[in-house]
Amino acid sequence: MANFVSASLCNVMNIKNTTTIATIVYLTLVILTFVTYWLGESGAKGLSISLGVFALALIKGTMISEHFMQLKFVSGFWRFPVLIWLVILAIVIFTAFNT
Amino acid sequence: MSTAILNKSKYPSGDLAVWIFIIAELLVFGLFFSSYAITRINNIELFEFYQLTLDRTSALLNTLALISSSYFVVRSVIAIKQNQKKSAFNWMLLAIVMGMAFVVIKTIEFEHHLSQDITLSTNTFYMFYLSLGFFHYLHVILGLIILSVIAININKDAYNNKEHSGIESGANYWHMVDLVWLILFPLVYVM
Repeated sequence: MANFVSASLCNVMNIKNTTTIATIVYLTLVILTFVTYWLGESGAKGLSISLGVFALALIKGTMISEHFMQLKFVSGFWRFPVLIWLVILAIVIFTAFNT
Repeated sequence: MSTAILNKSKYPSGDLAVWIFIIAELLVFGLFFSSYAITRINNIELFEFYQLTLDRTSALLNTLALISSSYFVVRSVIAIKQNQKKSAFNWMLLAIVMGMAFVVIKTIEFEHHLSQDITLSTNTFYMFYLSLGFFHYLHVILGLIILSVIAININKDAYNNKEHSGIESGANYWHMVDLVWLILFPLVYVM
């Protein structure tokens, strides 16, 4: 009985924790989106601005992969495909914008 | 979910076949994004000039719509895992509404360009902008169909705290659609 109660309590706490984290991630994504928009509207130009904007996109992409797709709870092969996709994309785009 | 939180799982949530599909989709979009960036190298002035003709505020609203929709899907999955089916249905409905907002805004954007006789053959920038945007738009529509089927299934009690693979598979596809837009938005509209 004690084990059952503690398991249920643990489950409720985990759900609550997951909800809180998801909400924090959502609000961070919204804030980073406004920062990206503001950088575009400010008329600021240059390589560092472009790469900074793309770095923000990579952070947002990682948050979606880790928290919304729940890949942070996965180990082994399936942990990495989305992250590797983001890294390869970053290398190609950073190189193209630097050329 | 509690098991997943306490112990790392060997497999991601949802159906593995859907994950293979998601990876294939990401590869296709990755090729599109890479082609855009590589083509831009020899057309920087053209790309920067025509980028300024795009409606960045619409893109901002669309980004907020998709991010919100993704979050609502997360809340729906959490609700199912707590056996709160009514709440899961409501969150899923909100996610669908936000996805539909994206479709409406994007349709208005496309209609605006078409009314100005802008097509795929107008120039290289518009070729990428229209094809990338339309390809993603089709994915949003497919995603909305999937979310609608999930909402119907929630109503039919098809998911509960033990069986939720179907809703997780649909949720992962929808997050992929969101993820792709989060790259597309800065790359095509801002950088």
